[in-house]
Amino acid sequence: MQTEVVDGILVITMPVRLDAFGVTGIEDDLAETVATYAGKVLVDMAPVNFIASLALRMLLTNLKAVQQLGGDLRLCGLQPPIAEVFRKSRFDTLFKISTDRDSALEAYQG
Amino acid sequence: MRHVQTQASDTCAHGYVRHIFVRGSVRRSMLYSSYKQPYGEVAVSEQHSIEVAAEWASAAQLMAFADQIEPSLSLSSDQVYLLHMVIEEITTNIVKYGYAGTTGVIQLTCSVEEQVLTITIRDHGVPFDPRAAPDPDLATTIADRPVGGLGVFFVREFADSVEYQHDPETGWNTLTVVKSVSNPDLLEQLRNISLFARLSDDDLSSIAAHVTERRLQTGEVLFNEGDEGKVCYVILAGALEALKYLGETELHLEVRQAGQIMGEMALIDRSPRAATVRAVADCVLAELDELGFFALMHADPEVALELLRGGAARLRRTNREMIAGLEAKNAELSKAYADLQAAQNELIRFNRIEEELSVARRIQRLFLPRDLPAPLGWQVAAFSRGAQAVGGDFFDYIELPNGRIGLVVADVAGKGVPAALYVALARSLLRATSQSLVLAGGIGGGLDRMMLQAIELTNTYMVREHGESNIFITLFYGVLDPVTGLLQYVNAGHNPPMLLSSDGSVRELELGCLPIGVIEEQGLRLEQVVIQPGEAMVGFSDGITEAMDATLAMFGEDRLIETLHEHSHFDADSLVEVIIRNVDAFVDGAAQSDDITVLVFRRMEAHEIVRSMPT
Repeated sequence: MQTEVVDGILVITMPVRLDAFGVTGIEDDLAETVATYAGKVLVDMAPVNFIASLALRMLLTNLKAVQQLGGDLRLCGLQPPIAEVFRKSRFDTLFKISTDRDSALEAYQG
Repeated sequence: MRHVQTQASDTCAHGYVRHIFVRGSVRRSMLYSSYKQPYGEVAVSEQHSIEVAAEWASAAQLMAFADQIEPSLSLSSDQVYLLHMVIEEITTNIVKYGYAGTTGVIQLTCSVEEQVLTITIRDHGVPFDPRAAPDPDLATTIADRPVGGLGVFFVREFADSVEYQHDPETGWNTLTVVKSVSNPDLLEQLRNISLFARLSDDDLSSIAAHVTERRLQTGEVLFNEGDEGKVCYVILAGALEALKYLGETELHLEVRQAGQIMGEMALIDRSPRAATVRAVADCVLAELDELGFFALMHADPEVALELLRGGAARLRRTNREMIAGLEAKNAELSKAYADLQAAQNELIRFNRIEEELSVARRIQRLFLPRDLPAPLGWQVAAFSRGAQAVGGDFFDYIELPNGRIGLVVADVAGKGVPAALYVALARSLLRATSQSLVLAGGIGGGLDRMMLQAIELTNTYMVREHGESNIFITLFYGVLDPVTGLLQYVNAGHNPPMLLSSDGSVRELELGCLPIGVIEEQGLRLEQVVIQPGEAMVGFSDGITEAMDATLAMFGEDRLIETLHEHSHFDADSLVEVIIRNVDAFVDGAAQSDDITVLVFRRMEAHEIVRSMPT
């Protein structure tokens, strides 16, 4: 899990596999990072090629947490199979999702 | 001129005898060069001879010869002393009295066999038997004492035996002096040891016959445990340690120092050596054989008592150490036992968890409908397999009024026990809300209303009561009218079921809304489809499409569609079977990573119905 701040937006890059093991590896770290930042968070999903339901839950948890702190959590760079999971579970209606990081950052600024 | 003749017969078959005869003056380098010792460990008896002219310098020549041969003869210090004395005293006698100014030769031969030195001196002078010479009067004062005779006396005293022979035919006199390795030094050293200090000279010298010297280098083993023990040892210098081997481990029993005795136990009780004994320093030992040992015991009761005291003290010490050792062992065992018990408790705990899990699994199985009573003209088949003991997938089959059937396929995020708990909750909520609404006459608004209300209630409950857990459930809930084939359904974030036509075409049902438990106002949408004769609705969990092989490749939707496409004519049971078979074949033994659930609802064609009717 990589983090950087670009124009006041905390960009967090996800690992390749967000299965149970991958989630366990970043879950606590992610929660703390997001809660500490308590602002605009962009989760870059570009490297992710597998996502388990636990990962959806992790993202949902962080979305709720950061929204309560007045921030937001958006996603970008979903590979087609990942986008499909979001579509079928309708999680695409929960998150603001951009195709890539640049467009996400631009949209966030607006 | 003197000439040298060297005759070396040192190559006889087994190399036992080496004979070197040197005539005349000696060239040391030559002598030494013939003294190689090629015989390794073979016991060598050596013999060296020299012939010199009888003159005043003879003694010096012979002494030089002696110096040269001594190293190869391995003489003890007293043997060396005797050899020198013989050369000095006897040669002088021969030159002075034997030849008495005439010319002649003296032949000297030294040989050693089994540590016994034999000195032979031959001359051609006036016969003289040294044995016959009277002892000098040692009692008289120096002033009164006659000159001479002392040398011969000393030789007699020092030698074990002195033989004299005169051959009247040849005129040769042969004097043979024999000296074995006795050890007055050793006796002297023994006397310095407290154990022997009280012995009389007589006792000590009678014991001396049973004493030989042994030398050990540090680390050398004196004897091994189990060896036969017929001698014991008095340590004159150095130190010995007794040890036992327990498998690979060396147990150091005790170390004994100079002045102490070692190995006497075997002599006392005539048992094999109880321990292995090794030198921990370079040692000089007086080896005492059985007779010598018992002579020692008899000579002085104090010695016997002293030995007994030593034995008793050792026994006490050994007991003490053994008890301490046993106590330590006992402590170790107690600890090991405690560890074992802890491990066993852990195992019991683990087994109990396993047992509880298996109970949970049985209970969870009971959550699944035991039988799926297919309405007339329909086939129903289902399959569910958890990745762990208990899982997060479930399906349900709820009988509703007017022959309607509620069909549920659901998947709780996660797996294992946490997921299973929510399965129980969600299933119960759905069932309870469905049934209660039916019973409460909620039918008024139609079954579609009832469905939406049931799911909404479930969702609200989950969000309000369990929102903190962020657990969500993907749910497909459909209500089928078997008569018309109308399926009204709500899809809350679940993989849309597929509709398989008899011609092999496959299409997905509509997407729905967010899963149950995420947000309160999730905007449930009711969809509907009519299942035609020959069509099958295939509901499944993502464990099917995301089943992974060892390379983490996924089974995928395409393979599922292909499987369905190729088996569109299969009945419901066969369809479920072939899906699971294909998934398993694809996974090829890789560990199942997620729960797998399939539910197939198939509307039969007219001719099938006729066939399936009881006659």
